[in-house]
Amino acid sequence: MKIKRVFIVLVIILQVMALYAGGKKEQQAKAKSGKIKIGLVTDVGGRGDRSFNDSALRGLETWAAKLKYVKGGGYAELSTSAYDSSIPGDLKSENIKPLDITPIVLESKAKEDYVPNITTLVEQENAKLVIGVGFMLAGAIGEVAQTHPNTKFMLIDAVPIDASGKAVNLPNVVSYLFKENECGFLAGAIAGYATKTGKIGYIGGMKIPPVLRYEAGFRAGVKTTNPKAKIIGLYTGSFTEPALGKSAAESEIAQDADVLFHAAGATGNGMFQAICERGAPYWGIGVDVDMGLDPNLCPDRTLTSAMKHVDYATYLAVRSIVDNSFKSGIITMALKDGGVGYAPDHVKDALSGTQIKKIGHLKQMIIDKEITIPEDPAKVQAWSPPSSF
Amino acid sequence: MNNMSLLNSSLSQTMDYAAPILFAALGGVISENAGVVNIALEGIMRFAAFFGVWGAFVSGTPWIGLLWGIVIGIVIGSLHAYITVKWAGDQIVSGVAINVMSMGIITYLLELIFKTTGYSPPVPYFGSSVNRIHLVFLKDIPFLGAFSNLTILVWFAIILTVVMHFVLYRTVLGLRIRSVGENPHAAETLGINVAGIKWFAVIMGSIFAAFGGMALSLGTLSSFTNAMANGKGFIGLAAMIFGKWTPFGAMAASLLFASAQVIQLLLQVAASGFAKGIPLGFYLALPYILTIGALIGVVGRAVAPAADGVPYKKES
Repeated sequence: MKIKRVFIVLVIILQVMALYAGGKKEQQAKAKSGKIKIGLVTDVGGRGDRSFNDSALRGLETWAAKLKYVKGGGYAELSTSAYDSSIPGDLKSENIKPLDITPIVLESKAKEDYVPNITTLVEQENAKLVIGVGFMLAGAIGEVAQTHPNTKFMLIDAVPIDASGKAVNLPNVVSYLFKENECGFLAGAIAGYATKTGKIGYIGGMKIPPVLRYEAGFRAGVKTTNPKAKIIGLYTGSFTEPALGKSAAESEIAQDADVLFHAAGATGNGMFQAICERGAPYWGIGVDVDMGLDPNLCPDRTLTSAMKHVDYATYLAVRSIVDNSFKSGIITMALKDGGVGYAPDHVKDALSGTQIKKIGHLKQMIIDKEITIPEDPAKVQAWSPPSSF
Repeated sequence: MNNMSLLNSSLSQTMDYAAPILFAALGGVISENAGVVNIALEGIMRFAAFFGVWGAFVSGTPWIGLLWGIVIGIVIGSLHAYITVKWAGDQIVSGVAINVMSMGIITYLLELIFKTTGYSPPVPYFGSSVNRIHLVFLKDIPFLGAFSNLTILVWFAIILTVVMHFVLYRTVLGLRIRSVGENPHAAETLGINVAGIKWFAVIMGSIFAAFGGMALSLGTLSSFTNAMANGKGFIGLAAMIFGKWTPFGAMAASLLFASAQVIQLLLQVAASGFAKGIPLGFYLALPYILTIGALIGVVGRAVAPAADGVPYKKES
């Protein structure tokens, strides 16, 4: 029965591996330098989601700590040139400098990990600030923050909620929200100029507030630069299914859309797949981060990206701990403070010089509060675009 | 683009979306016809989706990826057969264990090899323009135009359905498989190697499920995402039951589900003019509602092979 014994050992090894990977709460990554400990808990998207979590990690690890994550859970020093090139053009003027901190990042494999991860950072690591990435952590941050008033917390995209799901105002929690409608608007305005067929596709994930703000802004933007264009809008009901996103994109392309925008997380990767298979004349517009820089998506056909700078918000929160200027409450990041924006990607290849100037002008009008962008897609119909810009 | 190309595009999308489900369903059909329930289809799809991408990543060609996926399908299939046939273990327990194992091991490997818990980098795949099967002469014909630009995996799913029907109902091997699923004791008395047939059916079924996983990661998409297979294996199982454990039935069920998915996307747009009040959830639930509706109204009673799921122990 030698085979049987080998088999049993094999199964045990596999199960242990499975436990290690599935049940493992954290991938700890520590560096030696830096005085102030800053903790960060990712949502289930984790490191390498190419979007939301990676953006927050860039704010903490790259910009605040000037470190580079290396495989196996450690950090290496980041060169100054790499540091400078990691800061996008629209944030160059925002005075981003390395801070004296140590980042501690815990990844969440399941939503049951949120509270234990946050608690570990607070109680065992004595982190001064704990960052929760994404609205999925609203409950966990709310719960731990209530019982640990001496630790500061930052929550991205959400306000903390208590056990009954009600929003609570805690003196040690700061929430960073974004005006996605403003960058969505600029992306829509660019799409309105770029379309040749007069049909533009939109793919949403779930109807949650940030996604709805993107949609509202996008629709308003198209309405401004190309009132006759038709928007083919779809919701997939998922942020994690690229196959569905591809299907949605193909459906829109079959209905003549030639410029497509998604606010659907990983589902949207499928949209870029559909565009890359076809190539010109189709354009895709990225979301949250500058997807035109991502060689894994479709950089050649990425027109622009509606960005929200989760990285910058994270950096600002860390800095507020370092220079003792932490304030609780809600901070809304908008165009005017570099919190949202659009990426240049291929805009100059698709738009004329005059059109690009007009986009710049529209941006200035939002900053100067000459126009306000609707936050609810249902209100776009009644919203009237600026007559001259 | 005109209505005809919209029709053709929608049909080819439907087939693309149906292929992974159909592969899983066919895997279930052959396995359960031999009396072994395989709810590990989902896990096998996940294993193969990952190993296929890994193989293509290492070698630079999706064909090697396909080979890796088939090998892992055989390995996991053997594990399931070893537990359920050799030791007459509980088939559901073994299936659940493989599914759970796939969650852990693949997440672990994803981190180990691609240094991420999210998405693998893109790899060469069967859906890229050079690798698709181009039948240009069909392009402008209604309905047939849908077949002008499919991936090889979709074609294989179609061919496999036909071949499986032939094998199951027109060959000695098929008769033996079905007799083992209906009454293994009688089959044994007639001199059929019951365990051998079951091993064969489970491993073949696992290979088909492996193709299903790769139809996702190397056919429709070109990378592995940690959420794969996103329940497609279980939908495949439902399609198998829905199709009354027959290959063509499974194909019809997979196509029905996939077409409902494509139709709901078209409806979302078409209805936005006059039916604003319909909540989004209705569209998203449509494929499932349609499937349940068809199951109640059209299919009628679905009868599993008599000895399906019953561990077989040779009488000594």
